[in-house]
Amino acid sequence: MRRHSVGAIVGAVVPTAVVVDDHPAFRRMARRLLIAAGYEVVGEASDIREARQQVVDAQPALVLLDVLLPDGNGIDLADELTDEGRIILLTSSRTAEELGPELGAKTFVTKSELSLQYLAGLRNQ
Amino acid sequence: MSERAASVTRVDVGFGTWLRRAAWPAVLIAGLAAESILWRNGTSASYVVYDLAVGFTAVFLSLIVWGDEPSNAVGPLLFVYTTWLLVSPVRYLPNTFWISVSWIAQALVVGVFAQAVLAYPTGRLGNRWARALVAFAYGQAAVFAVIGLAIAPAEQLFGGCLGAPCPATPPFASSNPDLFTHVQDAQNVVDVFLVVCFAALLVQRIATATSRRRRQCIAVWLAGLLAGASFLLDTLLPQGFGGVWDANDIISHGVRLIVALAFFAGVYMRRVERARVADMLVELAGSQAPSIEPALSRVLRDPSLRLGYWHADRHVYLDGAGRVVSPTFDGSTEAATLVTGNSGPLGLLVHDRAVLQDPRLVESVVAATRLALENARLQAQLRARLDEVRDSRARIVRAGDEARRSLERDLHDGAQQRLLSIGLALQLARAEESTDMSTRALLDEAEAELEAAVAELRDLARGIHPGVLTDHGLAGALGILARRMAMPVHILAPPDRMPEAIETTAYFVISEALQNAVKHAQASHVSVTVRNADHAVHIDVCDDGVGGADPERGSGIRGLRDRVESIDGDMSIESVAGRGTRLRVRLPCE
Repeated sequence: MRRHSVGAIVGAVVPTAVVVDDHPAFRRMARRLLIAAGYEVVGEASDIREARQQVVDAQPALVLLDVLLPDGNGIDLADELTDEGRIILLTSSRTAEELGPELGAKTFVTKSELSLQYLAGLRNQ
Repeated sequence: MSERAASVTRVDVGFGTWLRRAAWPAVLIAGLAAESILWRNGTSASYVVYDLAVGFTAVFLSLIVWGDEPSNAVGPLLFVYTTWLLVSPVRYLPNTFWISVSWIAQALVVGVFAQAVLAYPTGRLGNRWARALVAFAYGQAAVFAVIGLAIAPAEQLFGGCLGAPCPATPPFASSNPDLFTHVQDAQNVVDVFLVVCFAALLVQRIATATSRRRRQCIAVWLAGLLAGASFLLDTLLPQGFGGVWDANDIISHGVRLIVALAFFAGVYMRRVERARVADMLVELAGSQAPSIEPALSRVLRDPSLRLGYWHADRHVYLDGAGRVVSPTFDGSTEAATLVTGNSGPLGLLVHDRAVLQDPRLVESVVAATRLALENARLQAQLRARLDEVRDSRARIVRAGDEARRSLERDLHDGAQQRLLSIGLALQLARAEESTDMSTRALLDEAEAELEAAVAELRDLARGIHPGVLTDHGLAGALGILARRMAMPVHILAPPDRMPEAIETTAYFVISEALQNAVKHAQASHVSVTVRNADHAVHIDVCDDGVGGADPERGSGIRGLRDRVESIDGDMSIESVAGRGTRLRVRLPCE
């Protein structure tokens, strides 16, 4: 598991988040987990095109981004959405090993390891 | 068009066979009897032996010609010609009957010879000029023979009777030497005219024949010209070299032998040609239909030969290039022969008409072509069925792979995502402030179970079809596979992507081999090499286990072999007891 500094979202302001995943049930639960971890979820997207639009509109501090999306690869989108003060947290039901070297040094957590503590820790670091 | 395939039969009546068999002893007896006349009349023994040798040889050759094609008139005609020349000494018998018979026969044999040469090789005279010439030859011979019998002086009619006393009177009438001299002069003129016409017909045939027909007939035609020249010499210088062993006699014997040999040469050539058809059949065994035409053309020495293959859907004969094959019917040198099989038309041979002059050759060619075409058709059918089976197997394997991928996607997108969502829900429930300790403990337990279920589901999906193979190719998938094995596995594989069927087959082959190395071979190390070379992917899996595996046993190996062969690959296993196991697979990759 790789972790990034979250200095940009530390402070009194509630950090915003966008959830990008093509599975509605997971998206719904992830939204609730993010809220429980202290985020304000300002958008949800089920594919690359929607995600791009949501992030441009909402300018979230955190993007919880699924790697395997119906219209493309979340890893490529992560490069595109990276911005100063923004965390792109890639997630997948597959392991980092299975996803291969393309993942590089990006922040990644498997869906089974995605937890309240992890998200809270990310926020509070 | 001659439909010989359906109706080629040898017309060989029993009587003809009986006659030919009876001819041997009859000719032997008659020949010896005739030569005894010469012997008794004081002819030298050496001449008698020479005359017998030439005569018997010529008759022997004529019987071979007759026997080769009993239905052809040429054989009997040649037999009559050679036999008469053998038995002709009967003309020296001081007997009115034999003298009359031999006088007429001696005259008519010229017509027999002309007919034999001009009717060669079909037995038919062919055109009206030849028919007219032969009819005229017989007619004039008969007329002059009768006149001769009526007016010739005895010593001229009987050839001098070889010193023996001649019969006192001619058979039918009184001698008229002056008139007979005029008649002989007239006959000489007619004979010269006949020989010139005969030679002209032969020269015209030599000039206009197709190359195949010329090759077939040239020996006989040249022998005919030679015989004509010899006849002229005999006619123009009848008494110049009189007596036994004169030049005319030696030439006429030589010509007789040459004529018989020329006809025999035709038989020999036909037999060689038929044998070449049989050789061609052996040569064509296993070859494909397009090679039949050049082979037939070569064997028949007919460069114009074309072979059309029957196309049932279009009802036409097409050659190898798809062009319609049909005879020109311009009345020239072409003929067509239909080749039929049990199931209907097979092909059409358009060839030099001269081929038809040897019915047995046509029969051989048709039979050989039929066999070759049937063979080619059966081979094509077999190839098509094999292709069909191979395609079908490949389709089944592809469908299976697609079903595996689909199942893996369904597990990943459906059950796995729902379980992960439940995991998040359990976390949220545990985070609720109102949740008491006992409930939290229960939730922890549920979470642990859920985690195990997700892991098992992931392994199951991976076994069905590893998603990483689809996403990252063979090298990536093999790397993960190797890390999950309980023993060291050394992988050497190019990172390049390969066709999907190749990657999937290679992955499952290597995966099965690794499983076998663990389960059965008790290997402590396995090396896997994958390389691209010569338009194929070569896989080499080598372990240091106990060896002794039987490649013919075990459904796993059979399944792998089926899978490999479904994409035209091949697989071999070397497994010697105590020396490990080596699996080699080649997967063609165009």
